[in-house]
Amino acid sequence: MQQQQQPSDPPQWAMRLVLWICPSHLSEGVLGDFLEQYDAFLLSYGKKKALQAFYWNVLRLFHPYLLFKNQLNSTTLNMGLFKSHMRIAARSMMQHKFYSAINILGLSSAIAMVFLVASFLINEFQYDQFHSNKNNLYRLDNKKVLAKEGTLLRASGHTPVPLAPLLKESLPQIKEFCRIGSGDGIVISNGSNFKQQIHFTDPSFLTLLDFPLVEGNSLTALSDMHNAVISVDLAKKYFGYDKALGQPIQILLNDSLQQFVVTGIIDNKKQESSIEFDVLLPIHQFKQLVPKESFESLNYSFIESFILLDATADIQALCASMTGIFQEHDNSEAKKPVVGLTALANLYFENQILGNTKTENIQKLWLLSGITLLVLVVASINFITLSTSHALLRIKEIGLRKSLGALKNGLRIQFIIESFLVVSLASLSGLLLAHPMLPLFNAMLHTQLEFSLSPGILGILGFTCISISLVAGLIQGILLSKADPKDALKGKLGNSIQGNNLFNKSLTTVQFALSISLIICTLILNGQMKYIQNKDLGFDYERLVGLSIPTLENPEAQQNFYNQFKALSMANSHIEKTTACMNPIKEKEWSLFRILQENGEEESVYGNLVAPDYLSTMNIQLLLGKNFDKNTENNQRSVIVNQALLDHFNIEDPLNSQIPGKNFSEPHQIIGVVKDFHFNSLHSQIQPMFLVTNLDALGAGFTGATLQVWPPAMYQILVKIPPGDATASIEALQNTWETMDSKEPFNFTFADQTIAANYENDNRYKNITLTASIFAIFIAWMGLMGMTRLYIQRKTKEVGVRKVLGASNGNLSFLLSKPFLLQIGVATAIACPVSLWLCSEWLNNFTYRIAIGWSPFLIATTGILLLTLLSVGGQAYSTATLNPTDNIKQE
Amino acid sequence: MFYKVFTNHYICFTKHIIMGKSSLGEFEELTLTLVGILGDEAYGLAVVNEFKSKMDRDVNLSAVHVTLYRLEDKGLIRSEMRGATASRGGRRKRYFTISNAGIEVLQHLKEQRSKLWNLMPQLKFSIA
Repeated sequence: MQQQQQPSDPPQWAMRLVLWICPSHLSEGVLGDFLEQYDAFLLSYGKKKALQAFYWNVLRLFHPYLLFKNQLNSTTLNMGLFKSHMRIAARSMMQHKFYSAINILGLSSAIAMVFLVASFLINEFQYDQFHSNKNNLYRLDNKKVLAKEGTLLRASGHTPVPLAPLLKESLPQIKEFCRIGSGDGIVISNGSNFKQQIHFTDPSFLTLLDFPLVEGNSLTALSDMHNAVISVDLAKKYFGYDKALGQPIQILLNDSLQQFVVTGIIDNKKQESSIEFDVLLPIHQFKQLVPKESFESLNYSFIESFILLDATADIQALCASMTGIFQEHDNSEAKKPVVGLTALANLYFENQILGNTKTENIQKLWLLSGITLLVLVVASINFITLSTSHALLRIKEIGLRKSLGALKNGLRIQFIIESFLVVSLASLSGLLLAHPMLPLFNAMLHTQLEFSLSPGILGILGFTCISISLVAGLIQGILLSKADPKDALKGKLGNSIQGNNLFNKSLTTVQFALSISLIICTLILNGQMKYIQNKDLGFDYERLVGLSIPTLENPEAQQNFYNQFKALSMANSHIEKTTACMNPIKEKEWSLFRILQENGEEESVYGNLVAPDYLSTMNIQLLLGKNFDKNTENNQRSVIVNQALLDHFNIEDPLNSQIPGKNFSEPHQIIGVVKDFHFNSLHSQIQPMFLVTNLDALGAGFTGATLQVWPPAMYQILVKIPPGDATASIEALQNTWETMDSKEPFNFTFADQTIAANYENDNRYKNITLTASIFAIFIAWMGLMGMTRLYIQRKTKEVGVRKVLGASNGNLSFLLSKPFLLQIGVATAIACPVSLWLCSEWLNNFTYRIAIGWSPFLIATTGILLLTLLSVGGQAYSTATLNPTDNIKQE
Repeated sequence: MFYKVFTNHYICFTKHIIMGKSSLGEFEELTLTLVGILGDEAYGLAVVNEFKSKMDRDVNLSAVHVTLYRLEDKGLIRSEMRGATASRGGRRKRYFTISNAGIEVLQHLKEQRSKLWNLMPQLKFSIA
């Protein structure tokens, strides 16, 4: 009845799909109607419309009513057989407890890891997603480009204070704006002082962002100059639970004590947010902390600006017009500002353009998911190889089923059901395993995840389970259902199943290769981390304590504060040396000064304002010249530079030269050259740097600066304490501090801890990678144990015969281990170049890196070799030593 | 086996409909009525075209088919295969005719409606 296919007919596959979906007794009428409608549509509406209608018809056929009646299901949904499959699966699991245990253990640990990592990832991707304006609220990015070439000089999330209002005035697409600045203040509560980070913002903060306001009115809470909104944590800390609203709160900003009233309490920890704050004050209070001119000028960028846009606004065009407006008001010639936008929804993963908000490198999340996937792959390979080789033991059962009339499809379905049973059991036990592991995981990643079965996680787990059982079941089914019933009944393996051996072997080889590469990568990663953390920084940070100097009315007052402190601590035997500097040790980058050159270009040089005994306290080596001398007036114009600066500017005779620059009105003198030391992070190379005791030494030469602190003054006292008990020294420091007339509470940091904190994030990820690798190797090893046991079981008879013919135990053990040695050889040949490439790519991210030597490769290969020999050899030896008469009888 | 269980279930279901304990869906009811109207000429596509011409409503052919088979399962319509034409690639059509049970259900539904309609307070128009 089938007619010749016409060119205008709907495609064959669609028609076949119809026949496949429909129960056979209905398909003729249905397809006939479809085609008749198609022809009618073809005449009246044309081919495209007709085809669309046809496809839509086919799609709508996927109706439960039809699906439940179609012939495909009469085989799969046959309840009787299904029950029998389940029973057989359960029996064979019980019969072979060893393999079932290995399978379930390996899979469940992998699934536990999937659960933990999925919870973590879902949590990370939820950052900032609770704001209803997340897609229309943007942060202004501030980029500087060279006016002539247009090359990007730098980009940051900090913008000038007046920029957002200026843009809103001239652009109707900007509906609302909200600026957030941050600084330190001292909260005075019950007579004690607490240093506290304070955020200054516009009243619109509470309406644009959806932070849950527990108490207070979001419209008026920040409208008055003396209103304060605080977090729930802080409310509890200062006032006790739900007593805070309406309470007065005293905050010391710089030198002026301000009275505030608590008008709102925000639960800021309820949802994950990249904008973090504890105290919100109206933005005009920020004037207490920063100089008035920088608050009103477009030249100083230090706050973050968020703007709410029309949903219809064209982002590209808007950026261009905002840039235009900003450039109109900007008078610098060499560089031009460019305005960009980052949507609040993407802010958390924006780690190139930084503001004050919290960010995360998305690559690390991918790394984590990659490793989890690896563990899952290893566990699945275990599952597949073990169950296929194990099913070989059941070849008779398959033969019997076949001769009784089982169809290939039926057998395949049986295997899929069996693997589904194992995987479901494994996921249940995986969840049970994940529950106690969650606190450990939290401690490792510094998160506060809770055990919850959200739809997202259940979806991921369900998908994982179904795909593993489908793949494993299908592979087993395809390999085994091919068996010839005649051979199978005799327990012989046909040709098709011999091929399966090769398949299993290659899977095991992949596993070996994965394990070897994992060990290599982990070793190299660990080596690099150790190298970076133990690298000689060029200065001595042991027994170095940092104290922060309060921000006083002017730089001189801060200098005097230090002088006074030094004078007081001089006599104390618990204090060895004291110095002070502008840029605190290793918290942030140093301040960057730009110097205009004769040829019109700008050079950037890092600089620090220090007290004369900086070098001796930090133990920085002086290569040439002399140190600052606190007794000579000449200090005013003296500069000490590092080697990198000499190399950068090609200075040959430093003590008779100057730092090159066009605008230096008065001469300064380089009095000394220090050995390069790492003042910034080890991720970057040592840059040119200078030290001065008075910034006027170079003052006029600067055309600009990126300052981490404002105004330039002494901000940190560094104290070297004598070796031995640190508590006595800290006490001495505290006593000295308290004799000073300061409202600033006594706060100290150990330099070595501050430096270690810089690597904390790296360490977190190192630990989790390490744990995951050990996990993966352990699972792979369990699989290996199972495989060997099966292999040796099959060879028992052969061993007996060989023994009778005179083979020695050693000979036999070697014979049994030989195939595994070959696999390890192949795996090494694959794993070494791949991991070498991966690791050298990764190491390229570091300026200071280790050279990849032979040892990781050697350790990994011999480690795996030994592990295999021990587990295979041990089992082989115990089989070989059995009495051959028992072995040969075995049938 | 399955099929039979379902069919039995639906026969019981028909009784429920007649007893007024359950009812047909709106789409099912319309389809059933149109099958009745079309008499001997009711097959899937004809019902779709009838929806268009009588009610000006675009319905999906597959949805109509599924509904027709359901109605058949419930015993409200009967079907037979006949009348192949060239435009269908020589395939026969499945023609449906309404059964006595189907007419009874429609009758029952209509009576119930009019009973309810009669209970509605009549709008009174008066000239002030």
